[in-house]
Amino acid sequence: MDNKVKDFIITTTESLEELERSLIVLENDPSRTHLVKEIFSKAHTIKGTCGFLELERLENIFHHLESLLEKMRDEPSGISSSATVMLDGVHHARDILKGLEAEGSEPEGDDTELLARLEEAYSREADQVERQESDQTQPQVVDNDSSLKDRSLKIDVETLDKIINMVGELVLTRNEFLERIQDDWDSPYLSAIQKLDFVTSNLQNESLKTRMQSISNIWDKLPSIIRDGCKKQNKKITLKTSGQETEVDRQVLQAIHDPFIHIIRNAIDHGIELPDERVEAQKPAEGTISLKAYHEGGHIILEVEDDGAGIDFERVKQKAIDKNLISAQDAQEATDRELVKFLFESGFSTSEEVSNISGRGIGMNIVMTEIEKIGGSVDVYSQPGKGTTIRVKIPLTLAILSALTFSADGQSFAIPQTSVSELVRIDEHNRELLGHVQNTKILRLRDTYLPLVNLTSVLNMTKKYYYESKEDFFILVAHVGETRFGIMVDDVQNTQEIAVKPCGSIVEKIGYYSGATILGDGRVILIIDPAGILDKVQLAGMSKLLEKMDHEQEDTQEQTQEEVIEQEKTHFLVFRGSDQHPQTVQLSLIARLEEIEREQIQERGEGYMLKYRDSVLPLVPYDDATLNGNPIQPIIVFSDGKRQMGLMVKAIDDVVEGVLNITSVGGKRDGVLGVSMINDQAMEVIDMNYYLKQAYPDWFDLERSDIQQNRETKILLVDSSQFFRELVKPTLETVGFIVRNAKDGEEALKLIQSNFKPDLIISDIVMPNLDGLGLAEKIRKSSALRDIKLIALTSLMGDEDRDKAMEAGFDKYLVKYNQEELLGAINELIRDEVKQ
Amino acid sequence: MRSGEDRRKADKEPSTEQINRRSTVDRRRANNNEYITFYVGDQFIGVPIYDVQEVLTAQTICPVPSSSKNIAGIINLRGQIVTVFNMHHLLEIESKDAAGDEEKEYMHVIVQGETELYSFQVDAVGDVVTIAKESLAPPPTNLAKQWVKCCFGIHHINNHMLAIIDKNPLIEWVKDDVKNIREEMLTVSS
Repeated sequence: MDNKVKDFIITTTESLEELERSLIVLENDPSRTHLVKEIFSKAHTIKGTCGFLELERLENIFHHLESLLEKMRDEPSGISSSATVMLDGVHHARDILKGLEAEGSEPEGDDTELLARLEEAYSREADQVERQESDQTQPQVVDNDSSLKDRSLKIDVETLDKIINMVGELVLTRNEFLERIQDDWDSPYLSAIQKLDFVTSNLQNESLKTRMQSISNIWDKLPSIIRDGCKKQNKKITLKTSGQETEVDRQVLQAIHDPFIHIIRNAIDHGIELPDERVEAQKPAEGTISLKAYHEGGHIILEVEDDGAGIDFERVKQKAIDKNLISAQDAQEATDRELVKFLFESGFSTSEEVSNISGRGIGMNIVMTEIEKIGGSVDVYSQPGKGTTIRVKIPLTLAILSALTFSADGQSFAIPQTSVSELVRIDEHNRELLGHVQNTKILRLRDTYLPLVNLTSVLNMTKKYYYESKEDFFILVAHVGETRFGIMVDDVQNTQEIAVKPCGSIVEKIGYYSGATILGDGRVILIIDPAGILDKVQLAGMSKLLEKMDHEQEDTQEQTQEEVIEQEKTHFLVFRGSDQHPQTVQLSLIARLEEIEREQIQERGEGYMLKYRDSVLPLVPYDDATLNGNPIQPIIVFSDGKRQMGLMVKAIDDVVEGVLNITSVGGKRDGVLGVSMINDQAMEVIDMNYYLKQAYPDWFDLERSDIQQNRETKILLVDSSQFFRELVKPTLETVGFIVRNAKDGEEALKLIQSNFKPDLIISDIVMPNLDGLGLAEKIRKSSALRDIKLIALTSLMGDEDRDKAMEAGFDKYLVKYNQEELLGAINELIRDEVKQ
Repeated sequence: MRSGEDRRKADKEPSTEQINRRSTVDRRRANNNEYITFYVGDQFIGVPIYDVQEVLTAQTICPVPSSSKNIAGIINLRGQIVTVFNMHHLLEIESKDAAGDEEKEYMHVIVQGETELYSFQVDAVGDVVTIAKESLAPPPTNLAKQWVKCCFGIHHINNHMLAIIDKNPLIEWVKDDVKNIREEMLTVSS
């Protein structure tokens, strides 16, 4: 039988039961007209599906039922006999459904009598004739509006936890199988294991759902808290909620209960002003606290918004200066955003004097710690006089954690992904990034300084001072609250979803470990708790000192620049080489993806190739081992417009959207642009040009004539994103152009005035200081520069933006980033010039 | 080098499976006259059978850096994390084997604490023996501190002096130890 029909039978059988129940209630008590609406919508849904599946008999019956119900809904007359007829209809429909289940198609049969009765009832309703008598004995039923009760049952939470634990074990066993079978496509167990894999994944998903509870469990308590608070303080507050049906894991719900109540109390005590004050400020006497809950990419967002007085930043500033957290001069320049940070300082929040700051005060530090403990984060937005919004981000579940595994002194550990923002590899090329103050090592990371923690020495492992002499190692840039620090480790292995296990009360007491996990091969590894490490090294003071150094050194322009980069979202393809690390490349660079059979790949001298359509596609293995194993070879096809090549990889995983914020710290591997955190995962971003050159070692010979010509063309590339400049510049240089970079319009003009007069400028629009539009206008106005060709290359896609750019004087407007398109545009503009 | 007694013991050593099967049955009866015996170095030790959940052969141990020397690490027992006690260190019994012999395969006696499981890491597991309460002799009074706390009787059996111990003082001992280390660490660094 068709799956669709099967599904239909299952769902319709359920719906019919519900219909029957509702009809019986209606038959007994015709005054319950609100039921008619419910019945109507159900019948309507069934009718629609019947039509779709071409089940004529059922469709006809439900069509009649629907018309009758429609009549009853619009002009309720309270006739129980109609309900009786409809009940017969439902029974009739059920018989047909049974036949359908047995035979696979609608059984033959005569419905005319039933239809006639339904029509009769319809006309009766239409005539508004009341005939309430019924010759059937009425079954007595308990009123049961919610059939939900019958479909749910109570289970002891402990039993549930046990089941989920077992499922966790099953998942691990499954992983073990998958790992063993990975390269063996001929295994006789392959199909069985694939089935196991499928069933296990589903089982895991479904069983995790059982622990979900709706957020209303907490919210339901709020009205009374607010009522009490209002009474005590003579305030008037209304509570608005949306999204209370949002579900979270029971454990998460427990963990956020106290912090959340705390936030609400803060809003009542400090946020909302007294009615008189509110009226004076021309606000309604009654304050409003709105709660919002919703999903956002694997997280739950809880927002608490009040329309109170907001945070008095002047007082926060004063307090911060008093407490030596910031210098008076810096305080004057500090933005509200930066000041909010201080509310989370522990000294700040517990101090009596500060608790009467009109905004938030007491215990925000505790709230922050509690939320961070479960891998969440807290943000505060406030507008003085208008109100405060607190945004809490929490994970859906605690049982599964996305973690980074690494090794130190030969032992493997895991650390929650959420606490690592970046990875830096240190080797002989970038050792100069390290420095030290007294005995504390420091990493210079872009424009900031981070204190470094030597994990092996904190944990008292054998090789304590290992990294002094070790040639290359990694630094995990971790953060606890607002404190950032680096953890020195041997090697970074992998990012994966791990099941968190309690590591025993004794080991937990040590304070460095938040749990343990069991890897696919059965090995146990410990999960490092960054907060515990920070506690030990008492870094808080140290890092504050460093932060101050930051402030002094920080180039404010750089910060705006960072923000601009932040906004650029790009699509990435995620794939893996044989080492299983996730690698990414921007989707825009990829021509297409292919899966080809292993036999079709031919060796050609030292390389590989594939007969592809009418031409030959050179193939480059991503790494040595990518060729082994699979009978099917996944290939990523890159194209630069003229030529194309295939990159052979182990597996193609996913396409993700994320912000590219690359850390191209030196010492990177060939073929890699750098590491970027994409959706909370550290991933290497590969350099397409590197592989293109591998595929075409004779690249330069082939293009000689073009390249020679291009050599005469000077291009100035203006973009605020360093990454983007590094991406585009080599591309242009490979085809011969002479390229210079500038990070904004101002720098570009300086460069032009000094000695570099370009033939063409490729410029971003949104940039600090002098933006793209300003730059274009300046160039068009200058008689000396007027003939420079201008291409806008931006992520702004609106027509309006395009018009503005063209008006400002750009010759071409391109959206980031299609290499082919860019080279085409450049050629067009330059050849144009030659012709003239 | 193993002594003659050890060799004899090794020959007679029951399989863990046998013990596990027996211990389940015995636990059901909750017979408090029966003890599971094991060796830590040369010391022959017994624990009440109703405290023992099962016995495991060699396991891959994940060391826990910065913990107490009394903790050998943690192991995976069918998905549950179990803390492993280094019995040599805990009971102050010198290792016969060269110190730091990582190749050595220990056995694990899994005991039930109040809320979780612990593993006694031992050199070898012996028989289950039955000893009537009245035939247990009191331990000597000049024992080391933790022995005074945990040892509640001795008995001579098969030419061996068997020391009967209670798990609870040992568990408490390790807990305190970790707590002290933690406090010490925090005072030192601040």
